[in-house]
Parts: sequence; C-alpha cells; structure tokens
Amino acid sequence: MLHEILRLTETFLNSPFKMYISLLSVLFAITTFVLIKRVQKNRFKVLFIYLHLFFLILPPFMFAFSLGCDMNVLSGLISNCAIKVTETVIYTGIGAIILSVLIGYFVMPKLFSSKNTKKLKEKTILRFVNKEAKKLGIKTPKVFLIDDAKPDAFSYSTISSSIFISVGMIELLSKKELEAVLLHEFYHVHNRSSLYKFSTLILRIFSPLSRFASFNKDLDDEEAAADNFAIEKQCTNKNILNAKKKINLFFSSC
Amino acid sequence: MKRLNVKNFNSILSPLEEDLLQLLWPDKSMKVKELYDILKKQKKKAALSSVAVILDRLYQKKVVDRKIETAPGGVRYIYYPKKNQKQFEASVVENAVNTLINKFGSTAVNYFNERFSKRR
Ligand SMILES: [Zn+2]
Repeated sequence: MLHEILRLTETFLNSPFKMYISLLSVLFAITTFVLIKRVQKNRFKVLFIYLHLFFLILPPFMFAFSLGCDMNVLSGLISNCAIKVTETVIYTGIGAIILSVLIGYFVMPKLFSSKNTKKLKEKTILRFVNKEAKKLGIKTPKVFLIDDAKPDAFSYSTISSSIFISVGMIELLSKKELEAVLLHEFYHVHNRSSLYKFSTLILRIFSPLSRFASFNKDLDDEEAAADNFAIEKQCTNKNILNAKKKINLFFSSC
Repeated sequence: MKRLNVKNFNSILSPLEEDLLQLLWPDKSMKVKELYDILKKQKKKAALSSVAVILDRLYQKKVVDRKIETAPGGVRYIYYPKKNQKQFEASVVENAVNTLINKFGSTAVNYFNERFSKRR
C-alpha cells in the first residue's frame, strides 16, 4: 500500500504537465499573496486572498486527485478517469465559489444573529441610515438592535450588509454622537471591512504564508479611516470623540 | 419610606446602586436618562455612563428588570424593580447566613440556635 503510494507520487512528480501546473500554481500563490498587501481597496484585497488560497490548494488537490485516480478509488466516480487537469481546476474553482457563497450567505449572518438581536424599528435612525446609503450610492444596510446595555456597534457586508447597534449605545449617546457612530459603521460597510477581516482570519488558518505578514496594522488603519470618515461627514470630531469618551467611561466604571 | 443604613450596607450595595434602588423601589419604571436627571438634581455626581453600568449590574444581579422601549427619536431600557426592598433585604440576609453556615458549619449553627433561644 505505502509502496504503491510512493510509486504513484513518483509518477506525479515525473509528469511534466502536472509539475508545470503545480509550480505555476505556487508561483501564482506567492504573487497573489504579495498583491494582498499592495492593493488599496478591500474588495481587491479580498479577491487576492481567495485567489491566493485557490492557488495554494490546487497542487495538493491535484495530487490527491491523481493519486485517487491511479489507485482506482475514483474510477467509479469519474468516467474513464484519465485525470484531466482542467476538470480538477474547474471542480476546485466551483468548490471554492460555493464555499464562499455559503459562508457569505449563511455562516456570517448566523455568527452575528446568535447574539440577542432583532430588527430595529426606530424611524429616525432608519431614516438617517437610508439617507446616508443614498448619498454613498449603496444598498441600504439592514439595521439590527442588540438587546444589551453595553454600548456596542459593528457591521458586516458580504452580499447584503447589516449594521448592529446595542440599546446601550443608543440610550447613552446624543443624536449627533449616534450619527457619528453610524457613519463610522457606514465606512466599514462601504469598504467591506468585515469581509476583509473575516478573510484575513481564513488566510491565517489556511495559508502558511500568513505567518510572514501582519494584518493587524491594516485593521487598525481601517478603524482610523472609519473615524475620519465620520469626522469629514460631520465637519467636526467633537461627536465621535464624545461618543468614545462615553463608551470608555462605561467600560471603566465600577 | 425607611432608608437603608448606608454604613451597614455599603459592602453589599455601592452608594450609586443604593441611590438608584431607592428611586426605583417605590414601584417606579424609569429610563436611564430619567434616573440620571433625578440624581443630578439631588446633586449626586454620576455620569450617564456610570448610571447605565450600575443599572445593568443590578439587572444582572436580578434585583431590577428591564424592557426595551422604542419611541420616536430613540430606543432605551425602562428599568423597574424585580425584588422590592423587603425581598431584597431577605435575599441579602439569606446569602449572608448561607455563607456563614457554609464556611463555619456547626459553629455558625450553634451560634444561631443560642442567639434565637435568647431572643425568645
Ligand atoms: Zn470600526
């Protein structure tokens, strides 16, 4: 059995076509990894993260495929089993797409709705969110209320976007301060911060290369940029600073 | 309404917890902001954030309860007492006695027996 696997590994390594694809794939994996840090926009960063992962898993995937085929494990599943590289590529690609759509549609919202949330019904806040979405030319995010006295706000955007805000946040802040916090979240929604953050997490789990790059600074910059967005929109930093003061005071009170 | 002796109780309730409970115990339902405004009028210095923290803590301790109110211009909690003053005091005494018995066992029990037979 082991001897058989070793022999087939040798055939794989000796197949110039499979080796060529594998090497090219590794090269692409490295290139896309470098590009993650180089491009500015989060949507491109995310794109390169997934391309990187795709090229990273392609060679082992291909190897497993070819091994299974040669050992007649897969012969029942794939007709004539003349392991076509194109087929492998297509299957990997489709698998990756299905996986990311599943994550986007089902897993991400589930992660957040596990908290005690329900749809926000308050009109003034909804009107503000609607107005700002129109200004930015994006689809109006859904707004959810978290049943918690701790001031908290976050957002995510995959295919649809949502902003979450706690009762504690709303009752603690003035109207303008709350708007500043919502604008901060709007920046994240618009810039797909959560998707990027989530993708770096996946990257950290699956890519050995992620050990050579830190994404924390990117994520910190993201927070500063979100604050600046609110400051620019409101023409003052007073509200976002006051909001932060109140939030910090809440968590340092005893 | 009889006021709790703060000196004896301040290990159980913080001054702000005590103040807030005194406001809620007469079976009142109030928003964080309303309680904050009353304390301000009484010249008791407490930030809005601190009032919110303390109310949340009393809620976690199950001394007060709360419900969400959505009204034009905002969403907030309405706090109201879950235990009245008598029930709260009873639970404090129960806890204290349980702690003593758990820690000192028969010594505590003997003491209580003696103490109560004297009183009778
Ligand atoms: Zn943020």
